Amino acid sequence: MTSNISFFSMVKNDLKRRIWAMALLFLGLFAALPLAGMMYTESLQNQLANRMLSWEKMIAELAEFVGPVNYGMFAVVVGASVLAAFTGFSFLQSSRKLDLFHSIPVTRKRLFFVQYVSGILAFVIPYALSLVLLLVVCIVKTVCTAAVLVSLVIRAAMHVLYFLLLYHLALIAILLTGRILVSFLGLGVFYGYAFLVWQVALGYFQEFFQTFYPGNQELAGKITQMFSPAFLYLSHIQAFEGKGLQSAAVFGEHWKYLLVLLAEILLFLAVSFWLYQKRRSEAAGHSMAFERCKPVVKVLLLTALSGAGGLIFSSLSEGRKTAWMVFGILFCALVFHCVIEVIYSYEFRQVLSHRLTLVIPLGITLALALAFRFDWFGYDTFLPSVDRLEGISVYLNGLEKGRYLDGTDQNGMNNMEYALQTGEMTKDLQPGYELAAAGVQNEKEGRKNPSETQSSSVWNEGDITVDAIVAYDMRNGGRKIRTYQLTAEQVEQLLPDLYEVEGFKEGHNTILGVDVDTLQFDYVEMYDAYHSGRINLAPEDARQLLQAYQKELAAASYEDLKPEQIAGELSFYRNSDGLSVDIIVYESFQETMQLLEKLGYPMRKTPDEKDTVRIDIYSYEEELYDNMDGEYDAPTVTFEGKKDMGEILKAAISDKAAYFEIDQDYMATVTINEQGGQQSNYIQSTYYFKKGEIPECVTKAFREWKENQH
Amino acid sequence: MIEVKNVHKRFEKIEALKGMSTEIREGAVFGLVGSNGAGKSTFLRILSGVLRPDEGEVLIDGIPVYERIEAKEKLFFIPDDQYFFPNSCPKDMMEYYSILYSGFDRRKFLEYMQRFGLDPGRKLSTFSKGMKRQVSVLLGICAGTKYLLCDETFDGLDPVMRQAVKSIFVSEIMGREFTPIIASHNLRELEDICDHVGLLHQGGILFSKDLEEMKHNIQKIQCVIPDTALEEQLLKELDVLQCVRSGSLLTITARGTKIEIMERVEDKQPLFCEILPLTLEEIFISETEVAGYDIKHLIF
Repeated sequence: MTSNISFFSMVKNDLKRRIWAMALLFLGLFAALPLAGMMYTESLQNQLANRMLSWEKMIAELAEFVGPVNYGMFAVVVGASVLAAFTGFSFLQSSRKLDLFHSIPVTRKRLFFVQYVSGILAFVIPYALSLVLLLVVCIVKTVCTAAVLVSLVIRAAMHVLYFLLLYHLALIAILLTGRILVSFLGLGVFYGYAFLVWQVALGYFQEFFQTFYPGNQELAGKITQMFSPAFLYLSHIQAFEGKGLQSAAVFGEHWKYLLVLLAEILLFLAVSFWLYQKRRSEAAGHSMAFERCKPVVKVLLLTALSGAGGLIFSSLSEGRKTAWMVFGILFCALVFHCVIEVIYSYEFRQVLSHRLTLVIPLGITLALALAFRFDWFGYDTFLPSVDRLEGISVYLNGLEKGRYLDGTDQNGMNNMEYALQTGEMTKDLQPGYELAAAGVQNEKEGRKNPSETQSSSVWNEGDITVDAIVAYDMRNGGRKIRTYQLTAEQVEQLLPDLYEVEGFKEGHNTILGVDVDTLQFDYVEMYDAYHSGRINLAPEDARQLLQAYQKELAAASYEDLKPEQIAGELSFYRNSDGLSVDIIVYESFQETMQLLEKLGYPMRKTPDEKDTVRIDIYSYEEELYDNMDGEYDAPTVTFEGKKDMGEILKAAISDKAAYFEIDQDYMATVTINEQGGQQSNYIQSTYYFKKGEIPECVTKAFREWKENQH
Repeated sequence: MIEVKNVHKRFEKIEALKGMSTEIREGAVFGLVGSNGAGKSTFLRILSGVLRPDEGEVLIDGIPVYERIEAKEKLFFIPDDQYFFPNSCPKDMMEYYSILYSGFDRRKFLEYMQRFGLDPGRKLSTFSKGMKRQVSVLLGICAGTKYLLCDETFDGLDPVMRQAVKSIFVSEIMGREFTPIIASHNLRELEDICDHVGLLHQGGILFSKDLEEMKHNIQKIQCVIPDTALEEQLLKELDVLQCVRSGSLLTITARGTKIEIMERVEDKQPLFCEILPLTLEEIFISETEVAGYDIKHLIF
């Protein structure tokens, strides 16, 4: 009877046959763990001996090294899962082998678990051995603290769990197919399909929707993680990056990953066991073990692949994008239909059979692609009514004045993400809504003049466009984000009202969300007409400066923050963690300016005429560039006359102004000699002019320059 | 006893077995003959529990075979192309099967290996096709199962080896409950081994009979009867299956026992009369012709 046959004897016998695979795995693991560990700890020892590394830092580095973040291990685990699954279950793809395995007096259920357990042991035994050796290396070469040990244990648990997940996935690929090659292809589909669908969908959004905001991929990323185990694995181990000493905490913090991981492990095991029991022996040698899977797999694959084809052809074409997109979809659908049919039947004559499974995905893809191309669902012109909105957040690129950078950009967020997350305007929606409406209007105007080669033709020559990201927080709890393009003039009109609304300024100035009383800095740098580097400020003075600045920035109006008011910039730094604060100081910030003066560093927007040695103006006007005969250095005119220099300095505005607040055709480099004559005290600073406010002497000089060129 | 009841098996568009029913009694060597594609391998794979019939059932001593350990431990299947583990030697295969079959006789296996001149420690990949077949048969015999299913197993064996295997079969049948079932497309290969033969054609058993019974009921006589009238009378009296004349020499294949036929022939005052041995092929030709088939089109 069954019970007479020892389960463990069968596992042992099976492991004997897999000894080569175990040896191969041990070799890979030995190189990735104890061997790499030996080299790494030796390097740590040397750094410690040379005082390049503190003891604490060494422990942290070691904890990181033995922790879950190891991309070499990722590759080894992926390889091990494939090796374990294929060495144990590839007998299902051969009728010769099946004659042996399915005729012996062992039930399929028992046989499945013998092969299954043996596959796990084939990985776990060499892995455990390598981990023990790594531990020995750590103990002998350095100091293995509890934190290091915990990191090692978490690593072991993580990689074993992901091995199980990928092992189960490989089993499903084998069980669904009847040929080794097709099993590998199936596994490739399991690994990459979700990611492919995500990227194709993202590509269509980027290619066809002008207002698409690519930063909002969190949900899509999470869905992809759910359906792509390899992506989940990578995302999970990335969460541990730089947190070797906190491995246990990170492990607990990311319980959602763990939950998904465990659920998928169990689900995939159940699916593979069910498939094993359902799978008939005669499936061996057929590409697909289950006839019913064929159309489903084909439709899913053709939809994604033909979609990708349409996208590739559309983005590669210079003109007639729609036609090329349709061609790409048709071409790829037909090619992959033939490929899949040949794989299914291993018979070239069957290449054009099952045409219905070509027509269905083709119809789906074409409908979706055309919906994107002609925006049938009004994605780009979406503008919810105000009464459906809970709040609205706006980010105008380049408008930041006071930035707090904690080394990872505001807790991992960039300026845009920060503005959208913290700059929600809920009390008065009108200014934000008007900006959004202007953006939608621009988009509609652009669509009236559709161009196959250009996304939108609403702009006039010379217009400066500003990217405005708008997040609509809907009353039903959803959030929709769009990217609009506005002209600098439109932004200038809208800004005064926006500055009056609570949230807008806070979103653009991260410094307003920080408790500056608790900050401690090591040094400060100052940039204005007379300073270009470090200044000597006591930490308490630096803090006082920031406090005053924060208060004045919070109260500032649009008039106070006009570009012509910019006096200079201050940067505060802390060495220990790379923290920095950059603030743009305005002449309208009386308290800050007075405090700087009191501390011995009066901030000056422009230098005195008497100190100015020369002013070089660079022109970036296209017309002038054309006259450079292929040379790309900007044409330059130098001014040394007091009158001209005075006129230029009067019109000059700081280079700290936002790009859309300045005329980008001219740039001025002002050279001053602070102490009169000594070359070592020359200081240079850069200035721009407001649009339409270029000094007469400058335009005249370049006119003459142009004439001389002719 | 093995009972096969109305078994159907279809592979996509091909119907391999069409309502096959038969019984295989214990204690005899059962030969299953049929042309290529007749369904022999499918039948044996269903019999061994590798394949599940679409309809019908196969009972091994009253127990359905598919996924039933109690039934499967009574049989050992030697397929047409036996799979051995990569880099294994006969000893490794012995180890494997001794885990699975409690009655596996390791001592006997090593003895037979020695008797057949096979090295149990040599890699099977270095063995010839015939040597591998010998190892397969020896593994099957030593597994100690009641039924041994052999698919074209004797194909690669030379006559000496066939005789040696036959003698082992005989000694096993004498010594314990043992029923080998041998499928082959070649009647001549089964002739000296089988006791009972079934003819498989187009997914069904055309007939299944005991070889001795068939031999007992069909005779082949060579005689010379000088009197033409008596000769004609003899042919009328006998249940003639085939009659060939060569000059005055008559070769008659007729149904009936040896005594009955000889009595009738001797009544006709023959100059010469002799009973000739019948080959299995001749018996089959006779039997299938009676059933309305031309055996030459079925298996030759």
